[in-house]
Amino acid sequence: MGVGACLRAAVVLAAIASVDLGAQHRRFYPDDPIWREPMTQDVKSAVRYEPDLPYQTIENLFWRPGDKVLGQRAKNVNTVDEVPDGAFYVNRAGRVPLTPAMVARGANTGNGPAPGKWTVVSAKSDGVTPGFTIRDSANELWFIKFDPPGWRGMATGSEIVAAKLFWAAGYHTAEYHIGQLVPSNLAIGKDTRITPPGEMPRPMNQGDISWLLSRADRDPDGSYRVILSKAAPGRPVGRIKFHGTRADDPNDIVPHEHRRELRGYFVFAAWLNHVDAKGINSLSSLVTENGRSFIRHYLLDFGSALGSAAVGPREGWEGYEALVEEPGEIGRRVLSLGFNIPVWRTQAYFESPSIGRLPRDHSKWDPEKWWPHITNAAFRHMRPDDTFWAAMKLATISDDMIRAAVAEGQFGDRAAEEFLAKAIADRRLRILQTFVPKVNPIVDPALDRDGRLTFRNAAVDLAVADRAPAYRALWYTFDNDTDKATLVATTEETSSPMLMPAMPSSEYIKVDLAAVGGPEPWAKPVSAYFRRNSGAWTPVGFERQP
Amino acid sequence: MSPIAVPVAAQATRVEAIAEQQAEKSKELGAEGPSEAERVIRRILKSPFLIGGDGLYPWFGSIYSGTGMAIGAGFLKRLENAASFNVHSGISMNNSLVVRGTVAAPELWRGMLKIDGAAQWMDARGVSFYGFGQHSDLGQRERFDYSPTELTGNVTLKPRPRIALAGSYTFLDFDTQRDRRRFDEVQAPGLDRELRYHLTRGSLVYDWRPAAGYSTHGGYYRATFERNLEARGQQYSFNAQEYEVVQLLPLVREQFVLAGRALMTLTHADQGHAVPIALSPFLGSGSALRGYANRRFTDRNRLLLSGEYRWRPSRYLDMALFVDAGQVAASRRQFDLEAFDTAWGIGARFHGPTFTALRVEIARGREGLRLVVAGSQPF
Repeated sequence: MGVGACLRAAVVLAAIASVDLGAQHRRFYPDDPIWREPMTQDVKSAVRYEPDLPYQTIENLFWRPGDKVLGQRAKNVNTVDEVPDGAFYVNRAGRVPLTPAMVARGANTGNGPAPGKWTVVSAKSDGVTPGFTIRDSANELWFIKFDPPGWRGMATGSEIVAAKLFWAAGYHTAEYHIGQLVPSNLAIGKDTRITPPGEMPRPMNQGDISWLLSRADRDPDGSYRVILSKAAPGRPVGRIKFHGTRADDPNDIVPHEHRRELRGYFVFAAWLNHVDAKGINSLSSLVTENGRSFIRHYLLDFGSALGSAAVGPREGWEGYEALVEEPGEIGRRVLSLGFNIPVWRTQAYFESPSIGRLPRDHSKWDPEKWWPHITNAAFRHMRPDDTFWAAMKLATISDDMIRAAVAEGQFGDRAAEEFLAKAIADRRLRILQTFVPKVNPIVDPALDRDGRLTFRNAAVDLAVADRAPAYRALWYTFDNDTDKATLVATTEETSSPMLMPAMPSSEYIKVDLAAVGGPEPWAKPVSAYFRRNSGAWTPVGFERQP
Repeated sequence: MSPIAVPVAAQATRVEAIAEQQAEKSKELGAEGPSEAERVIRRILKSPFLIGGDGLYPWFGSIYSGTGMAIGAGFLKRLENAASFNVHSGISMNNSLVVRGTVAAPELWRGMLKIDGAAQWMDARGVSFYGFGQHSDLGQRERFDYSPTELTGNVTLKPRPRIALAGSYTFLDFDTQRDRRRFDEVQAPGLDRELRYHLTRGSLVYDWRPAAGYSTHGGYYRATFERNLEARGQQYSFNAQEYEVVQLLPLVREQFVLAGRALMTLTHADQGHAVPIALSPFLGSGSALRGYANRRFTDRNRLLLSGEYRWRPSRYLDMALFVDAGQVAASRRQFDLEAFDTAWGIGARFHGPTFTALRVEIARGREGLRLVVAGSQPF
């Protein structure tokens, strides 16, 4: 190619580039930031699909489904870097004034099953602990689960506590109650069938009830402590996928691995040691409200959380290793003749029949190294800004709220309850210490009419990091129509507030805020955007990049 | 939604921009369901071979000690209350054949009483015999074919969870054939003969391991007594006793397991009778004196001691360094501490919570290296 041809090609390319660059990229709409995810389409044809657990396990262990490009920013956050209320999540902690009483109530709308006989409509005969599905006298469907023998309160109480705290964090959960089952109060439905292990399906009989109950913890008076969870509203259509979108849900347009609340689910699961945080322990339900049908996603089945592994106390490895360990780690342990001993084999544990087994000391617990049994695409895509978001939610769940949730577990063992509440609080602290300082922790920027820029350093406020010596602000005018920022001035202060320098008239201002002399991640600025409304500056955008 | 999620749009509001994307998606909705890969995996995982369900299944295993790996097919039918019918047939690498069927009656008294029966026809080729005693010559191997037909009934009573009392009766009819006679009747009693037995057996077992197929703690203690009555009055009736102790000692929360096993088998032929070679105790196999050829040592009595240092690199993989020591003797009094043959080695065991799927070991005895491939724990 000659010089002339090269020049002609360069001119053409420049022309194309200029067209592209000149395209209108409006960053903010008048209704930004939105706090409710729009669900504008009626879901008409969703059918139930139950994913296969072994397949899910194999898929996540070996194939790593979902977007192959890691490190992308969550795609469902609003313009102020928050998750709007929607099908997966409702802002509670940090957004609405929660109280311990609210946390204790959680998703409950009533006091449990209606009085009268409980009619068994199906039973869980596989696994070690039994379970029933019953209809109460009000024709409501409830799921009943038990504690394993010798561990009264462990599985049922842990599930209640985890459910309350996941609700507080903002996830949709079912309605849970602790109850007492008297066998004589159970009636078998006329069409109820059972498939005992290794047998063919057949009608259920009283012997089956007795056999199932024989595997549950029994109280001296012959009754059984149970956890009752109310069937979620709507029609079940499957389980939460952690990658891609539902093909039958027109409102579901953000791949789930790019949803911040599903990435941040890792942090909450680590907090509560919910090692069974997999799709099968969730529910997607087709709900009709106000004449419109949409799919809402619930987290369920927290029996393998905290100190409980549902069928017994939590095993040491749970939370420290995945269901299948890393090949490199296995190789090291082979070669070391076993003397490469994992920490979970040697640390001290608190063990009690009422709460199960938990590490006695969480002061050195590393939430970044927490493992669920099976990871998923959303967890793999998680970034430090996602974990920061989740940690900030946790920061607003107080010790009193934790104690209120633990009290709902009705463990009947004061020492164990106190330990559990402390363990949950200690794990929360470790999460804050780990995830909050890991990105630039500036939050709540505000610009008043007088041009005073205020903000907070969340890591300093939470006492998980030392103060930064100074903060630097880069002040820009911002053209919303072209998404172009023009640097006007740089200012530096030792703390909030900072004064806005003289700025040209502009509807939008962008401020990049970074710490000077603090930890390295804090040097990466957060970007705050303000829109002028009747002389006042309204925060309209916020970005935190790890 | 952030600008990342919603690119260029001409709409007036964010909600409108998102609504347009949702409207676009509503034009091309699909159905939720398994992917093709999931369908394939489901089919594989639901095969009777993997889940033990009803129907035809492929069978892998061993037909008889020393006949090599075998493949075949089986059919399983499960019935109510843990009853089942199972039949399989297989052929091994050395052309041995087996057809085996079992019938399990429904469990009684909530599993306390179990009754089952089995029928089997086998043609095991090239079974080894090296002569009696600890000092038999490796080069003097005799090979014979062993063709038993068996009918067995078992009754197992478990009065307590860890205790089992088992009784069984077996009608056993077999013949042994060899192409070349290296040993005579005195040196190798019962070879080339057709023998028929009424075999009655009683066992007392105390087993406090979590699972027989794989455990990291607990113990197993067994005493078995047998009466082997030759039904046609030939001079091959005998009694047998077998005692076995397995102890698993976990260390550092089961990061390590010290495992030990002692096994002693004693036979007592009736006055003027002999124990046939095919039913004599032997050492040399993947579970009894590794590091030696199959059935390398045969005699009327055997004693085996095994010790293993096991470590657990994974929840699915155990490694082990092991030492086996065994001896055979014509009488119990001839057991001698100085006479043990030993072997040592290293092994890898791939397992689940209650079963061992694959065991691969290399063992070295005084006659060289041996590779062990098995589908169960050594003990």
